Amino acid sequence: MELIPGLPDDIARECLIRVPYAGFPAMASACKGWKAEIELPQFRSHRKSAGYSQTILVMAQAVLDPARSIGFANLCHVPVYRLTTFEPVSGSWSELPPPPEFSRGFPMFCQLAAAGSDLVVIGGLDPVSWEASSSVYIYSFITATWRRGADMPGVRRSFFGCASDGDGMVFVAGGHDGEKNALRSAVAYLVGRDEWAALPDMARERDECKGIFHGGKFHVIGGYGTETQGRFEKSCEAFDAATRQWGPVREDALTAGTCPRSCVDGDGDDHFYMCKDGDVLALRGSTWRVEAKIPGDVCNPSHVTKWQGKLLVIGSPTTGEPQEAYVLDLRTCAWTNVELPEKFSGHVQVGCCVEI
Amino acid sequence: MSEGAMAVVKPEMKSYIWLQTADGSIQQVEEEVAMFCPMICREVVQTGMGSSKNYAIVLPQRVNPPILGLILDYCRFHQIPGRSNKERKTFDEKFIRMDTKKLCELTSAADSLQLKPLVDLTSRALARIIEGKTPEEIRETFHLPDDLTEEEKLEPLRNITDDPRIRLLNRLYARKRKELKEREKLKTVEAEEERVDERSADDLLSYINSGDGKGVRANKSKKKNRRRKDPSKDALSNKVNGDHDEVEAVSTACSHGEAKDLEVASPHKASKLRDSFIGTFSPKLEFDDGDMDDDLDPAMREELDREVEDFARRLNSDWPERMQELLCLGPPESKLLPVHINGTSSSCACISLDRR
Repeated sequence: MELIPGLPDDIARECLIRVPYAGFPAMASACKGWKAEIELPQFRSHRKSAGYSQTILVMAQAVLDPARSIGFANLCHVPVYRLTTFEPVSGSWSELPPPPEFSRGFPMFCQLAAAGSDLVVIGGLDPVSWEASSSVYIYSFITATWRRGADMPGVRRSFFGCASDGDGMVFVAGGHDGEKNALRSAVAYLVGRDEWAALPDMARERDECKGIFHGGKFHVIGGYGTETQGRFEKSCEAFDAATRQWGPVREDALTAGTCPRSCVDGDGDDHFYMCKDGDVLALRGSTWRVEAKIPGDVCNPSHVTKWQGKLLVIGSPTTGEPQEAYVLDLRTCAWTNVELPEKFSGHVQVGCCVEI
Repeated sequence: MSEGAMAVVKPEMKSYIWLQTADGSIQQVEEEVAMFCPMICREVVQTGMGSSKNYAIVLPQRVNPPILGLILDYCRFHQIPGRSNKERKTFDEKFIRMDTKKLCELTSAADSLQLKPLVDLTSRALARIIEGKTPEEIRETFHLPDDLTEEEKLEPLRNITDDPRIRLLNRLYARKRKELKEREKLKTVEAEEERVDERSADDLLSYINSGDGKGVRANKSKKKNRRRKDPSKDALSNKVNGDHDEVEAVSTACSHGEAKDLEVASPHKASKLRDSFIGTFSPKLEFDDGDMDDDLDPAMREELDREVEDFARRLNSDWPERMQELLCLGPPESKLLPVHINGTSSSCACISLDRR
């Protein structure tokens, strides 16, 4: 059976890869042939090499009520988070429908990771009960549906570092358990097999660490130990998936002990980028340099994310003000303001970049 | 272009290439136009064919006369080097307007003639045709078999914003209000077990506002020293402060006693009003335990009625975004946000809606 009757299959593929991802769910429901085709990893890589990949920035963003309520007071003391998407090329914002279990809001401080055309949502605290969860929910951008994945094994952790290798493996490390003990353990989730694998422990306990995948390794940055609550480390460790080993602890990876929230993986020869004291810093080798100055509008960044050659910074001039967004072109070091529609100007807790 | 082939023709005469289509018919085409097709170009150069009627180049089977005509139109336009990008784009956009069947034939023919730019143009056009169609429409357009099982034809979650849903929600709302009135008579005491969040309002607020690791009691009375990220905590406290006045104004005459709201901690020991129906509803109506007071001041009752009216009206106004959120309703037993309904009592009654 040809993909498109009347066309050679390789030409039919040329057509399919050019369809924007919004059309994928319908394509996946058209017939067996099309469904099988677009679910192939080769489909995604073909799309990418032909230059038709689309970048989607997915964020857990607080719901903001655009209208001033008159009678009913807006008592959202605890903000409700839902997933929003931003396409930097088209500039369009949208919202992802949540799975039924998260209709009251996504878990607070959950982690997001992109694995191929899937978005993985791990853990977090239940917005009502505040209990730490080990749940895993996966959204497929191909079928536009949610599925539940195997729970994260072991102790229920929160505030862990998490990063995906972009292909099908999501790494988790550190965080703290129910007694606020900092953890040094790590696990990895294989999305395709819906399986978790234990990794060797890190050298240090790292609560509130940041996970970044860069240069083929899972880097865990900063964090603090059980006995040193809130005193962030400057060190980082890297796990090499090929050798299944953690490299030596790199002390003084950061310039100062600070929350590594704004660290993101670097482009090209740069290892990491980080927002600190009004600057975007870039680390290359063992030297940090100032890459660019952060615009005043977002000098208090709440969320930073990177995709090819660009850095998105969402923040506000001072804490508590409405969020604004700027994109930095890493080549030209030029900032562009991104307009946040009112509905999408809520606080961003976490985000990741999906390329499909 | 080979010098050898050109040498065959006298310089002052316009040169033609002879082409034969699958049906056997032969035609002559201006040389520069025909040579724009890599396949024809190669034939001329390598085999010397095409110089006369008897030695016409046999085109691939997929190229029939009408399609060949279209392809030659394309070549005739684009082979002129002086044209601007804008001109080419305008031509392409007009050129591509044809029915799907012809578009497929054209794609196939262009591919067999190795005319990549045209293949790209037509594939993009076909991709645009696919985009936006339902699975059924896709099958119809491309004559695909309907061979997926019902399960496989996953119902993708869509962002729905049509009016009929808004009206439906209104009807549900009205029905629930009626139920509420009836339920009041029963005076069920359910609040105790529904109270999931046992932290007092003050605890939550101080947790949100502190950020120095000040403990907050979770469900199980565990102290968790957790550092809250700055921006969010201040955003929250601002919101809280801003809304206090409103709450006070409305709820003074409302019930007394502890209002242990499920998701909202408020400094007031009164029922709260919310309009952010974000995601959580349950068909069960919940009343504050023993706090119902039938002596609601009639003036207050009137005001509350008005507010309910306002709210219903707002539901009717174009608020598609809110509908989207509202329509992601949770399971029946999920907790919901307390809303003060028209008061035959000052109870803290909760709005609940059936799952869609």
